[in-house]
Amino acid sequence: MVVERPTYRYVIVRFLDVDASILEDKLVAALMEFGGIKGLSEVEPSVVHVDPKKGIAVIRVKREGLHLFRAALAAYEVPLVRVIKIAGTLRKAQAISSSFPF
Amino acid sequence: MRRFFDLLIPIEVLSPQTLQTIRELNFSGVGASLGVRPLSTNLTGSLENLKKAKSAGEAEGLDVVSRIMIDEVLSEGALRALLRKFRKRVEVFSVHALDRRLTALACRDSRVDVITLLPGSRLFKGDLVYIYEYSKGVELLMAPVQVGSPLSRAKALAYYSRTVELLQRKGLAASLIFSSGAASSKALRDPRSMASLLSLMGLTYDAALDAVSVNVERLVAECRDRLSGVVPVRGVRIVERGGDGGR
Repeated sequence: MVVERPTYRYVIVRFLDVDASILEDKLVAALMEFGGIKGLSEVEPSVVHVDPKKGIAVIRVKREGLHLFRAALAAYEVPLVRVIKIAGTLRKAQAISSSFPF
Repeated sequence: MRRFFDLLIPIEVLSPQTLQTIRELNFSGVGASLGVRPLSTNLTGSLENLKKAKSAGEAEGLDVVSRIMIDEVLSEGALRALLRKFRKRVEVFSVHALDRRLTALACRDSRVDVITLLPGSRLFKGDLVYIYEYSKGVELLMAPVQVGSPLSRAKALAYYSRTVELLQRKGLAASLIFSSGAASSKALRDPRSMASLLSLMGLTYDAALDAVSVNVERLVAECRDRLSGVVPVRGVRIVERGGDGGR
């Protein structure tokens, strides 16, 4: 039996009032609050690319958990990040994030 | 292309900066909402603020919908008086389902366009029939899921799931509207994230997107047609006015 490799989506976000170094911790906290450990296992978020100058980050999430991730961000009391775009590959996500002027 | 609307943002929150944020979040339109309190304390000032918000929104490229929301428990007579006085001065008139009698009247009265459900509100079979007959909107707010204790937020989520399931069962999914009800600009979220949240309550993602775009746009268009006289009474639409021979 072969265990299928999960497919991912790359969420390009602009972070607001959050230090880049603690962004992942904040996202995990928001997700934990909304979905608990089970929700976290469905999303498995990880920050794969950060541009602190532009304030842009790329977050990798499981494809099945994308809606849960966005819902957790929406339901969180404080706006942590603002979703700009969703990409299917890291290469495309990085290209999109580098194309933003701010 | 979808045009996203956030139909409930209190007028006090709608500063030029907030309007800019709304634009950045990819909304095309916003409902500038006046509550009962500002109406009763400073009527002329409130209506003036509504006009100002409309022009500021237009400058920002936003379609601003004027709206009065009954967000306090009123007697039936008081609600009818407000309807008589303001119905033709704003585009959308909504009532929060705070009280059973008020909810029943709001559903029964064709002048009310939107019923805003709060966690704990109840809709009976008769209410749903009226909502269907008069093509009213049923609005859910994101604010109760964002603010409060974890238990109250969980209860709001559970209530919304039950409501979405009920509306789908009764064939009223197209009446569903999802708004932020934001008390500050920090509570605003992008429409696709709002749709993601709604999709977790049992709707498909497409239907959830409709609740922040197509359903709102249709309701606003109907309200504007009624206000402009294109739809003088329910079921009648003036397609073309005749010339001298049409008299």
